[in-house]
Amino acid sequence: MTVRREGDVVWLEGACRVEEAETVVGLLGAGMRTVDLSRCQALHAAVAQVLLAFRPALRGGAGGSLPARAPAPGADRGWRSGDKRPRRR
Amino acid sequence: MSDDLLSAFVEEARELLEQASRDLLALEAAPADGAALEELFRGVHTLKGSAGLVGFDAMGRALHAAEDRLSEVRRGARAVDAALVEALLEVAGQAERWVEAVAAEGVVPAGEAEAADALCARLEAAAGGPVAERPAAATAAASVAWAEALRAQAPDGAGHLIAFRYVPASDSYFAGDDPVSVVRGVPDLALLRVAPAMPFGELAAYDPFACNLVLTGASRAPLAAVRAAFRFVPDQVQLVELPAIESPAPPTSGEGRARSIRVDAGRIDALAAAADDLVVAKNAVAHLVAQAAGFAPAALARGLMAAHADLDRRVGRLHEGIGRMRLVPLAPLFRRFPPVVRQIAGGLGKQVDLVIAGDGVEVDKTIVDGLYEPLLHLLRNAADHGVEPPAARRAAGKPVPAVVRLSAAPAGDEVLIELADDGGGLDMGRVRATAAARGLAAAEALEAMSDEAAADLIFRPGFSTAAAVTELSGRGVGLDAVRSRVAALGGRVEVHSARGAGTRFVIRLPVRVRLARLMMVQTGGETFGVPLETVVEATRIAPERLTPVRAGRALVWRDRAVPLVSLAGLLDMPEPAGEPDELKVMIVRSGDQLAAVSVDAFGERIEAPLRPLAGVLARVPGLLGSSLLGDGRVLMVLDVPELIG
Amino acid sequence: MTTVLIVDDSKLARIVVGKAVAALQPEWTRVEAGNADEALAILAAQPVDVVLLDFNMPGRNGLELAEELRGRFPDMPIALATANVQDEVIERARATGATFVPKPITEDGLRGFLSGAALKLRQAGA
Repeated sequence: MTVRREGDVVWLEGACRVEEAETVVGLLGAGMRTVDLSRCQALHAAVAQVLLAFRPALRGGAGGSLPARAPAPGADRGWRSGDKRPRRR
Repeated sequence: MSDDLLSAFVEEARELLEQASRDLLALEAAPADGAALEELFRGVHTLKGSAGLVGFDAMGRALHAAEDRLSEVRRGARAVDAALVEALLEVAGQAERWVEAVAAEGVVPAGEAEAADALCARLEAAAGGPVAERPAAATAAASVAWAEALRAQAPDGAGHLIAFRYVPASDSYFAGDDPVSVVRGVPDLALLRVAPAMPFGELAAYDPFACNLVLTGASRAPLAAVRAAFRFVPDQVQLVELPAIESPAPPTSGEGRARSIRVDAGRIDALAAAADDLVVAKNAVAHLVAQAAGFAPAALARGLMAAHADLDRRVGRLHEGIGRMRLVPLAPLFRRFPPVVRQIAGGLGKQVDLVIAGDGVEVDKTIVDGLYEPLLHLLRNAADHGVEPPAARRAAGKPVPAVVRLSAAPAGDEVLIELADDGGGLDMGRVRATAAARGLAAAEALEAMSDEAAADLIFRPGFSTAAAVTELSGRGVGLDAVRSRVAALGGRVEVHSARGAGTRFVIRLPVRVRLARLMMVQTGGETFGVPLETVVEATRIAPERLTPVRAGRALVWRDRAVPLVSLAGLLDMPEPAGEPDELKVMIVRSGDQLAAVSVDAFGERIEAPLRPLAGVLARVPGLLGSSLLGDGRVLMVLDVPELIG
Repeated sequence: MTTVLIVDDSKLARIVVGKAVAALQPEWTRVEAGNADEALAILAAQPVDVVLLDFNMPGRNGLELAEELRGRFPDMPIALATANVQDEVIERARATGATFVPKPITEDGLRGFLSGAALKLRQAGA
């Protein structure tokens, strides 16, 4: 179990695999607006794609900007454009 | 056509094109980004007008066609799709080449009508409506456009890059491919963008298992290594070599996978030092070449200059190559921490999960070696001060096991290392009170300070106090030690905090240490650094050898008359009183000229990371940067040729 | 009920692969074949949903078998297990729509293919 719902927050934990994309779509489609990645260690492209499409607020740890929690190191450029996520400098 | 007008055109066009490329990429990632669309439209419109002003009709025509497409989008008559973005990127790429041609030749190139026609046709085709399949004919030309756009994002001096564009088939997830993990396997990744291939459309009908991604990026690794990372999806990847702007591309061999051998680190260090020496020796040759140019026969002088330019390039490449040999992954360093954190947390009666990410990122060995202490300090700090005791966490509705996340990610020439906890965050009231109590700032100043600025005070020496010191984090060393350690590695550290949500330390470090070889000199009781490569010779001169000249004094050095100035004079500092028995002078090259600069004393020669100056100092002429000395003093490094002007 | 056919000339390899499949998809039924002919005989005798082929086999190799199976089962998830391959083999396998699984086969190496296959079968069944 690597997708967990807690209140209004979707937690992605450990290694998130392809199957989980559907669960995450279900939760985000049902109106959950925040995804917590602080316990996430790897994100399958299908799950990353869901986050790109639904654009939930992403948080992890102290809610930082480090792209390591995006699908891969350095991926921030693709995520940044038009992104509604709060992004700190 | 006046030169002024053309150079103004070049300057403006470069800016507009850079912005346009950014906007296009933003649009590609988020086709509904209205702000990017507006900015792009304005930029293209302005540029079209400018092209007309300098009589560059071909460029004006291509931009006009682009503007037409964009105004259709603004009207809502068509959507931004991949084909359109690619066509526009192609226009931007061609416009950039045109502008650079104007910059290089000083005239508007003639006979570009065909290129303009081709672009108009591409835009016309892209307007044919949303295309489900990428048009085959476009890929060759378009590939250049996306690769060029990537290059625009690459950090300066990124050198030779392999750009890739990976468009997984829509059934990739069923085939068991994970494009993100494929891209993670690309060695030495310098840039990565992940964007939807097609707009997502209605989310209610979102298909979680239809792959809809474009992954573009660039790697510093050789072509063969990048190709190997994509070996199982060759049909979905385009690779384009982006040669380094200045130096020619190193030959990429057809060798298969990267082989490795073990080499003693000491030998690599020795090699690196030898390469540094070679750079200095090469600079000495540069001076001789310039001298020879004065009286050698023209053909010989040209030959010497060409040979020197070649030497310069090759030495540069050697230096760069050896620098890369010193890159090692962070993983072994990061792996040392989990047991330590468990032990620390256990001692405090807390549960802390250390989550590690991005430990495949590579940085200079010196940096890895120097990071253990500061990271350990921050981890202790997080476990001790950052994470709340279990009872407090329960009361705050948080899971009892706290998460401390240690992660690294490349960011151009830098690596970002982040240490984030999900604890209580900084208590800004207490930070201000402590800062006031320790006399770090006046009470009014503290009141006026933003939280961000006030939080930065925790790095100040003297902030950690005996009262705040605990068994673990204390030991009389505060976060100031972390900051100075990181600074000594050429990096910087900052803290971000959200009350109740956690504290996050962000360390930015250069991937490669740039050690400057400096000569220390003293004048007026102060010490400055001068890069060794600008100093031709440091010597002592008897005052008799000075001759007065029209504007001041000169000395004869190796049969040449060299003007003499004092460093104190250059820096507007008081001149030393009286005439010393002998003058200590640096012979410095300034452009083609030599100058002698007198100083009070020569100091030792050191190697230290050179940091560019920030803030108000950044624009002070004559200052190259600063270096932190081993004893914590800051050494200002002078650009002597610029001071002489 | 999902059936996976494991084709490898090495008995040991079939055991290792079988264990990995069992760990990842415990519900699936596993059948084994030692070469291409045996595999075809099994396919003629019972329904098979997923095929895992070793590339290096005496007689017809895994790629040839994959190409033949693709002609008969256009949508069947097929994996080709191999230690190292030439570009030409990769190209042909991609054209066939087979997924590469690195050898030696591990749970991690097999996970992507089996997850994808499971998704595909579920969607086809839905």
